[in-house]
Amino acid sequence: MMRAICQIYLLVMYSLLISSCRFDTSPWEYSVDCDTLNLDVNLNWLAKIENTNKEQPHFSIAVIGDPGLFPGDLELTIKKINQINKVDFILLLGDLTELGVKQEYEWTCKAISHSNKPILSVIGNHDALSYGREIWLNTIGPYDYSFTYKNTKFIAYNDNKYEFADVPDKEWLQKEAALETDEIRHHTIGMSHIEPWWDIDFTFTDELKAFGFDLMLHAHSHKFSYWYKPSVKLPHLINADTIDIKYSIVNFTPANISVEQCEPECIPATAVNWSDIP
Amino acid sequence: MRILLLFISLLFSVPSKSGEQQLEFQTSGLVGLGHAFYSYTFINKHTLSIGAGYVPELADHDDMTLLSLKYRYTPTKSYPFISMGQEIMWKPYSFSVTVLRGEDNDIYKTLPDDIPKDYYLPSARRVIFSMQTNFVLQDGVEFYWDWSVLDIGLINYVRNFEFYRDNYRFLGLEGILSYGIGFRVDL
Repeated sequence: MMRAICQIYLLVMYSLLISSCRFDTSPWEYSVDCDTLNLDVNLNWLAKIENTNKEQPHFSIAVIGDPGLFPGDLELTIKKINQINKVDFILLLGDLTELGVKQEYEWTCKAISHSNKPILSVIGNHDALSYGREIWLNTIGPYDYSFTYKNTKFIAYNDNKYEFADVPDKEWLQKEAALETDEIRHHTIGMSHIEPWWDIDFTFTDELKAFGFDLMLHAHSHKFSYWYKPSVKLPHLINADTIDIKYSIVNFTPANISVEQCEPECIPATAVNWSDIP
Repeated sequence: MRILLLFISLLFSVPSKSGEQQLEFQTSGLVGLGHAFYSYTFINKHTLSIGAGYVPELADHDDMTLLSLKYRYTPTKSYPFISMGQEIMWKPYSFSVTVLRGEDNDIYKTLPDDIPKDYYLPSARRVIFSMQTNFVLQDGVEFYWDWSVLDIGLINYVRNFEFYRDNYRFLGLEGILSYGIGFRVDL
C-alpha cells in the first residue's frame, strides 16, 4: 500500500516538474508575457470596433479599478461586463497589482484575457513598486497617452506622486486637451489612478476644467464617489475596487454624459457637491 | 539585523557534530540564479540556513545580490531505492520558509521619507514558502527539486482559489509555483 502511494506521489511530482518550465530567477524579474494588457493591441482592437459602428454616435464604457489582490473578482467583473452589450470598451484605472511583481501582472493578465472588449489601463501607485515601472513600459505601454473614440477624447495620465517625480505633466495635459484646428470633439475625459491631491495641489481641478476636461475618472480610494467642487463644477468619478463585482458605466451621447454605479447591478449616479461627501 | 545576529549566535552556541552542518547550493526557485546556503540541523528535523545569492544582469532582471534566512523542516520518512547501481535514499518532502532580501536601489528596504510610514510593505523583502523532494546519495551528497511560492502567491491562492483552479493546471498550482533545483553537501 505504502509503495503504491509512494509511486503515485512520485508520478505526480514528476508530472508537475515535466509539464511546467517556470524557473523564476527571483521575485523581481520584469519580463511579462502578456498581450491582453498591451495598449497598442487594445487600441487597434478599439479602432476596429469604431469602424464597424461608426454611424452610432452614442456609446458606453465600463470603468473598473484596484483589482490588486483579487484577480478572481476581476475575472468575475470582466465576465459581468462582457454581458453588457452597450459597453464598447473598459477602462482599468490602476493598481492592477499589490506589489508590482511579475507574477501579479501575469495573474491580472490572465483575468483580463476573459474580456470580449478592449481594455485600456492607467498606472496605479502599487503598479510602480518593485520593478513595476519597467514591466508597465515593456508590457502595457506609456504612462501618459490619449486616444479618441467617436469624437470623445480620452486622456490617461500618471499622477502617482509617491513613485514618480513631477507628475502629473500639466503641460502635456493642457496640450492634449486643447482642440486641434477643424477637430470635432464632443467630450474630453481625463483618467488617472488618484484623484487630485488636495493637500499638495488644491487647485488642480480648477486647472483641469480650464484645460477643457468634461469628466475625470479615478480609483485608488476603493469606494465609489462622484463629486464636483462647487466653484468649478468639473465632475470627478471615483471608482470602487472590484471586490464582489463593482464597476461604473459611463454613457456618452454627443450632448450628454451620464454615470451608473454598479454593484453589480447598475443604478444612475449624480455628482454631488464635494462638501456633502462624508 | 537582529534576526541575523540571533541566528549566528544560535549557530555557534550549539556544539558541532558531524553531519549536522551542510553547504547547500540552489538555482532558481525565486532565490537567484545561484544561491549558496550554510545550514545547521538541530533535533534531526529542523534546519536553519543563512545564504547569499546572485542574479547577473539579464534581459529581464537587474544585477542583484540576494540575502536569505531559511528554516527547513524535514520529516524522518525516507525510502531507499537503487538507481544505476547506486543506493539512493528518497526523502519525499521537506518544507521551508525563507525570508529573502534583494539588494538594489530600485526596491524599498525601508520606505523613503516622502512616503507615509507603513504605507507599503518594503518591496525589497519577500517571504518564500517551499517544498522539496530530496534524494540522498551515500556519500553525504543530497540533490533536491524545489517548488516555491511567493508570499503574495500564497495569499492570492487562498483568497482566489477558484480563479487559479479555473485558469491554471494542477488545481491552479501552475499559476503560483516556481521551480528550482539544488544540492547539499554534509560538512
